[in-house]
Amino acid sequence: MPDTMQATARAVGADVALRVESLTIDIRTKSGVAHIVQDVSFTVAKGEFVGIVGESGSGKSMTLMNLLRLIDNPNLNVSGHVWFDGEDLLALPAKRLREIRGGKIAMIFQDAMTALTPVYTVGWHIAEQLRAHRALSRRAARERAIELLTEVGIPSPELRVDSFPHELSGGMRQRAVIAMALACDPKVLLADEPTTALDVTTQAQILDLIRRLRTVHGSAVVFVTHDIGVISDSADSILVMYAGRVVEQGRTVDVLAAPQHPYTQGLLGSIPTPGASRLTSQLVSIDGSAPTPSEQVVGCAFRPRCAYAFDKCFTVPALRPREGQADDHLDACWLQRQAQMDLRIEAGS
Amino acid sequence: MGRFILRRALSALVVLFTTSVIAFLLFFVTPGVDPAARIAGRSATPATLAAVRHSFGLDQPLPVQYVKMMQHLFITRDLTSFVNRGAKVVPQIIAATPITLSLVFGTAIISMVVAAAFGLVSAVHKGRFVDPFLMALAVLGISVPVFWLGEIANLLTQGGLHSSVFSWVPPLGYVPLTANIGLWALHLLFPWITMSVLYAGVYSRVLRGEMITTLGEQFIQAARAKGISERRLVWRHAFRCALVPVTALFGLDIGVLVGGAALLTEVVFGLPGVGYLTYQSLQTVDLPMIMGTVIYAAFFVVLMNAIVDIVHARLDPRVRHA
Amino acid sequence: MTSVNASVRTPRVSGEELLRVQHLVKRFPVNHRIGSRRRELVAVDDVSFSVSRGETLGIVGESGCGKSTLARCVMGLERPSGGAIAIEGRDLTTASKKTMRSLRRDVQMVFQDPYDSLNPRRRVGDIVAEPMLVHGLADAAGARKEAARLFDVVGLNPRYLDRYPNEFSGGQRQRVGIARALAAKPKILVADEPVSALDVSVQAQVLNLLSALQREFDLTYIFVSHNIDVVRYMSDRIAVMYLGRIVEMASAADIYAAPQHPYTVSLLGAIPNNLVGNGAAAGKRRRRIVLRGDIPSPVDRPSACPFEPRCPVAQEICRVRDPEFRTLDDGRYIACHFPGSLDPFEA
Repeated sequence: MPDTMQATARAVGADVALRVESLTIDIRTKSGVAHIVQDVSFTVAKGEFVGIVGESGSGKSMTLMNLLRLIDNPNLNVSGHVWFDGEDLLALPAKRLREIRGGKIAMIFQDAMTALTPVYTVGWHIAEQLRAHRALSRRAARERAIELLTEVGIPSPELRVDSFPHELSGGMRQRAVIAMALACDPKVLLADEPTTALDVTTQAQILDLIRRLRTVHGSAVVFVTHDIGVISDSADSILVMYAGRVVEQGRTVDVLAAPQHPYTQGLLGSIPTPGASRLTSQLVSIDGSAPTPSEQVVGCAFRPRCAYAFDKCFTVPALRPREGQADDHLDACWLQRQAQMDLRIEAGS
Repeated sequence: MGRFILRRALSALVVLFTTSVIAFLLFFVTPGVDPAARIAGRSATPATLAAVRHSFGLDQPLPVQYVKMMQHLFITRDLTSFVNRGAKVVPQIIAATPITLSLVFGTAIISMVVAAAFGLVSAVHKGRFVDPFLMALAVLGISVPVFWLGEIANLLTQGGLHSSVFSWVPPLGYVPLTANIGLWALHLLFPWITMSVLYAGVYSRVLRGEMITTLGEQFIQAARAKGISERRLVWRHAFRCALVPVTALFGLDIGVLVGGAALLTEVVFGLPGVGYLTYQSLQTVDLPMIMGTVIYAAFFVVLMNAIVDIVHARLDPRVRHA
Repeated sequence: MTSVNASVRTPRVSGEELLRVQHLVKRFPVNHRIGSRRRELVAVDDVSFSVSRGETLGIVGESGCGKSTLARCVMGLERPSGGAIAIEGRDLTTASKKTMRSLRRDVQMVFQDPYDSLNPRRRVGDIVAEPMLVHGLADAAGARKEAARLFDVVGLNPRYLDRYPNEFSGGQRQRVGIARALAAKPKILVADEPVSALDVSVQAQVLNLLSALQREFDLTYIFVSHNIDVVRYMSDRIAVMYLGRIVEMASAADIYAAPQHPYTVSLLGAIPNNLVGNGAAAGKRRRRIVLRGDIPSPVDRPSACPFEPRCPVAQEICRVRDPEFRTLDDGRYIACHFPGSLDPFEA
């Protein structure tokens, strides 16, 4: 009893918006059990922008989707805790969960076109989100929808509110989706690769918008992406995921300036720095590719691809801070000294 | 919108013309079918045949016959049956239409409601017992031949149990809606049920498939993330979207039915609708009547096609702009 | 297993012109219905450039800019609506069937989607051998031997020649695609977003491979991508496209250090990490210019400067007169009335 009370007390820390504890997700397949997410823990402070970076098979999207229990698959086995407002989202009854979804924690997806039911207008969608959590008349909801569309920078919002999703451009659609997500003033915004399907100039617009709105609404943002560059100057802290585990986490400044885990180092080194040419430098390439969830690697999942692997790597490394680095800069690697590598990307400030 | 209608009207005319020409030619090209022989009777002499041909204008060149028939059908509307010299084609068809329409629309409503229920429940509870159970019923409905089912129904209601359980079932036939609404519905009850079994079976399966596909779409997950109730999700999001392709298919089926494909049911239950007329005219090789019913059928199919397109555009905004 | 820095290399660019594209136009009809006005999509609008042997020309732009259509025209996969494409002086657009065949050998393509561009029903060995057989470069036995050698060259184990595409990862499939492209011993390789569908750590493998192959086989590349950092990395010269036109073309170093066209400036500025690491502008921070509005559709294009509606420094003349594609003093090409009027760097 005292343990749980202590745990709950920790969870309801004044500055914490969301706290994920030992999230583990397995899926039963015909050929056995696939481990998609393994023992992931992280904290999101109020108003903080957290970036989760990973490539295919890293489990980053599954982590996000299961925070709100959005995957309805009987073969899925989710364990751990997701503490929000003193409650464990993974243990909540359906009704209470529905109150939180869209209301306190909102989500935006990668492709706005497939995230909106095509037969209803944009205004209808925003109104539905509003009326799911607030008692508003149709007319009031519509007016609020127009206000929200204005806030996200959509021109002629009073006309656009009656537009169907396919009538808007990709950038506009994503803005409308953001407007919908922020409609009920959520404390946390979960974003699953929201800029991946967009062009570079539109990406910049959307990132700008998210940052601006975050300051205005005070919501925390959890931004999942495969492109570390995208969040390099937006995120306060970064989590690097590989094969279902967190391999490095810390403040963005720290992780980018001094990546500790060989995978992070490789990741940063494989992106061409602005201005770099093939004539003057070679990109760091990590041989092989990431394991799929059904492949089980003994010990550290990165071991087969790591240039510095040694015998201790056959046990899974613990995620912990390192001497010489900040207390909140953790990594999961047995190496005592940071490998000397040419760093490619410096942190933005 | 005006241009849309104009374009549809034009293509409709083309379809109607082509259909009528094909039906007409088929009639003459089919071996063993000689309208003159039919009219003259079995033991007709060549002379009688020639005389019959002449008096019915069957010795004229084909294009002339065709034009004359179309004239009589559309312009003067006095096209007469070969078999029954006194009966005019057009009024007969017009008289038969309300019966077919009553039958088809009642069937449409009943089968759609049942299909919606079966399809929705199956899709939402996919994998659990109720799913294969309902789908097995659907397959049964599709497999059972309509005329067999109809005859069984008749056997029960008109024959064996007529005096006891089914005494309330009226004899075969039709009572107009305007005359007595209660009797109208009662006469149509078993025909409706018989035909609905087939269509409800077909469309439950179609709807189930569409619902399952739709429920796997990303926008359903996104909608769930908004915190709306599962019921609203299934009804307003999934069902509404799954309905679109189903309506298109269904509309076409209705068009074909109204056009006279409800033939078997009408014959079995003694309803003098257009299907029944078609059946009769084919048996007696009554060319004018056949032409009349074929064109009527083509017209209704084309009309329903156009209506389905419009409804489809209303239901799915993406189609409007294509 | 992870490789590090290499020494500085000079590009082996001879002066010899290999490919010349002149006033290339490609139009597509749009939704043509009876009675409604015929509308057109001008995907490529009067594009001209040339590529020298051994060089890499990078083409960068966003959706709708026409870069993929341009690549396909150069490949001979699309028939241009106007203009000329000449490889070693021989014009693709007026070529006879016979000439076309030999021209096709000279230009090969690496596609974007490693999952779509390989026939799933054929063994990878056969896929790589096919171009050799088609062009009569080898018999079946010879082609297979060559395929094994190519596998080696691209870093794949020749033991896998008899496997099917679905048994490989995305990065490996892309290598198969590259091997296939090399099979016909082409002079020019057109790479249309060759790494966009791959994970970042695998991208580096493929880019390194492409660079190495260029040196080893004296290849000429046309590298198309929306990612300007990748394009800069791989290219000697860069052409920036917008709505079917080249708006700026210069050496990669010049474009990076001193972009002149407002669109190029915004494109560079849109990248989140804006601290320039290398080159003449090293140490400077790029200005983040967030453009108004969206990328317009290539259907029904305006008759004046296509970038004007979104341009932060547009003036009256930009609305009225189409800027022509001309050369500036420093040798770069530009289509703008006021080149250099948007400062790319923060003070």
